Amino acid sequence: MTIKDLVKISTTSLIRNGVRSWLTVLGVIIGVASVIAMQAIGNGSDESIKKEVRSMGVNVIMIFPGTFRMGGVAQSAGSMSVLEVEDAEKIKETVKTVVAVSPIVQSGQQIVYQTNNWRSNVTGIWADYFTIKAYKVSSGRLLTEREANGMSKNCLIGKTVYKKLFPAGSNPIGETIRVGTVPMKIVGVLEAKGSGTFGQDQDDIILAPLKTVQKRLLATTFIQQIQVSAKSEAKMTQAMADIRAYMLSKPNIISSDGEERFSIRSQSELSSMLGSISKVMILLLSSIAAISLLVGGIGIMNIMLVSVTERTREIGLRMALGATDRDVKIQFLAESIMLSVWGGILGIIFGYLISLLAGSILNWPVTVSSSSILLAFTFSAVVGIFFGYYPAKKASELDPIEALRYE
Amino acid sequence: MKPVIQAENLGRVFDNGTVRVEALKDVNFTIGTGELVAITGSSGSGKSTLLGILGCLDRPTSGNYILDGVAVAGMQNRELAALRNRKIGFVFQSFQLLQRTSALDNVELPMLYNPSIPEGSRKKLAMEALDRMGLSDRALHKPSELSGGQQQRVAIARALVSNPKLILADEPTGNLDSESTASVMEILSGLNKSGTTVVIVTHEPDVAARCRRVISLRDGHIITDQVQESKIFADAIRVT
Ligand SMILES: Nc1ncnc2c1ncn2[C@@H]1O[C@H](COP(=O)(O)OP(=O)(O)OP(=O)(O)O)[C@@H](O)[C@H]1O
Ligand SMILES: [Mg+2]
Repeated sequence: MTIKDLVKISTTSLIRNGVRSWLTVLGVIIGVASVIAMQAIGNGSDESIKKEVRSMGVNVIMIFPGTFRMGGVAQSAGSMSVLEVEDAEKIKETVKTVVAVSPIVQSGQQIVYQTNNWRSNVTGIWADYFTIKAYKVSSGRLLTEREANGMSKNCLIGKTVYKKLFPAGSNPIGETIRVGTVPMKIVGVLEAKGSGTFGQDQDDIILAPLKTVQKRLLATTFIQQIQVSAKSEAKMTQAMADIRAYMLSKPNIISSDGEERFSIRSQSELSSMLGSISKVMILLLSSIAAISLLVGGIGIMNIMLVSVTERTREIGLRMALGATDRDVKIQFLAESIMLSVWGGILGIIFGYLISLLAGSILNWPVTVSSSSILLAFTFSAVVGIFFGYYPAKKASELDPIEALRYE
Repeated sequence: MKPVIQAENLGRVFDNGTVRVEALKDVNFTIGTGELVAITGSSGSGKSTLLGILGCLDRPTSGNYILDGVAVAGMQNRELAALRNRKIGFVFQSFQLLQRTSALDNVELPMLYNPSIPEGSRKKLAMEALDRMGLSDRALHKPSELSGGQQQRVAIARALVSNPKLILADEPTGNLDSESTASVMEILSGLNKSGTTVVIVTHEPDVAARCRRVISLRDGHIITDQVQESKIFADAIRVT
């Protein structure tokens, strides 16, 4: 029997049982498509996490008041006073392993430009913040150190704020907007950072001098966070230890129940936490995908067993005419492989389309890698061989005389 | 006359653990090249069982079967399949054609398993075989579109397409009316005249009467094995 004969026999028999064959193929399509899509979405989430980490800045260390737990920052009463602007100054002066320090205060404010209104986050910062977060402008300029560390009423806006307040194409540089009650002048528009891991818009932001936000806008002295850039990646651990030592030297920093009233986190810790969350997610999704491919394979086995039973007499006849057990086995294997390979090809196409769709909905950079296509294809062929083998073997072991007599 | 079939003390026991059936016992005979032999006997006498062994579809549980000078006993299943393919043509009572396949493709079937026939010449050989059966105009018809007699002629075309030494037919006329029976018998004895050994299992006296030699079975062993004097008479009937 030539390959051509095999293909012809299997194709004819599959076409004859059209609906049945399609349903079986559909099982494989769903399996393969979900494997492809899950891979793509998983890779996409990985990539978006990497991007997020990059956008977080360079060797960033964050100091929060309160205790950091998985659920977020637990801030006990009075914790606000644990962290002060003075601490930022001291850290910058005394800790030699850091290169940039900025206190941060954030507040949601109504922003008004002429008749346009938009609610956004105003972040009060020092000039070092641009170094820490690797901020650049797409037009205009960054705040100078004098502006940022003083009480200037100049500010920077993100792409989203620009889009919401200004007509497309207009130049916002030099324009005055009202932030809460305070009029501020725009000196630059920040380069877009895109959306973060959880889909938050990182361009919906206004950066203004810390003191201006504290005094003019919020009438307070507290800060929510201090961010620090370590000298190098290698110095991260040392820098964190130094900062901790400094913090512990502050009075009243241990609560009555013995807990430290601050926490220090690094960007790499955060990113590995995010990474592990996404890995768990990928694993979960992949196992669901793998299970559905398995179910597709069981579908093939089921239909091949039915086919062997239905065609018992045909098998007996072929044997009487000179087919060896091997010929019979190969004939049925060819059929199941054909089912699974068609399922594989169509599944790859569908999986690709689903990935594109998911990518555009989730706003993730989905990438269907050629290795995942190859993997899915090989996997589906293996499924065909694996689940087709038992029925094919059963067919080849039939006794020709009994098979010929089968009703 | 070189023997095609040598059966030496053939026995076949079916034993499923609880019931033991001795379907054949001590069967001895020799069939020479070019013979036309009928095997008769009442139902359950072991005719089909014997034919299964002669056709290498089954193995005897005792005794020796020598096909065309070769002892079959020690052969692998794979070698038996090749023997069936090259040396034997089968004709069945129920035709055993693939239903949704054309007559031509049905006749082509045995050649799929014979690598010595080039793929390109299969269709031509199948067409020639159908032509010999007078069915060239029905080549593309499915079995369901053919009469019983025509279906059996397709099956005979399939049996003779690879020029076997031996044709084994189990009740080939069992499902046919008398007219089709006559035409099928005509064809089989014609094949025999051109040199092919033909063995026909039948319980129809008319059919047996057309064979020169008749082997009768009862309860798994041979009771008579005789060359009919009346063969001349049978030939006379055929002419009329
Ligand atoms: N696979 C089997 N298992 C058990 N017994 C069997 C088997 N095949 C045949 N037999 C028994 O062997 C005996 C001979 O059967 P066989 O089919 O050869 O008879 P037959 O002469 O062809 O009868 P018929 O004219 O009805 O076709 C019967 O008693 C039958 O029951
Ligand atoms: Mg019988």
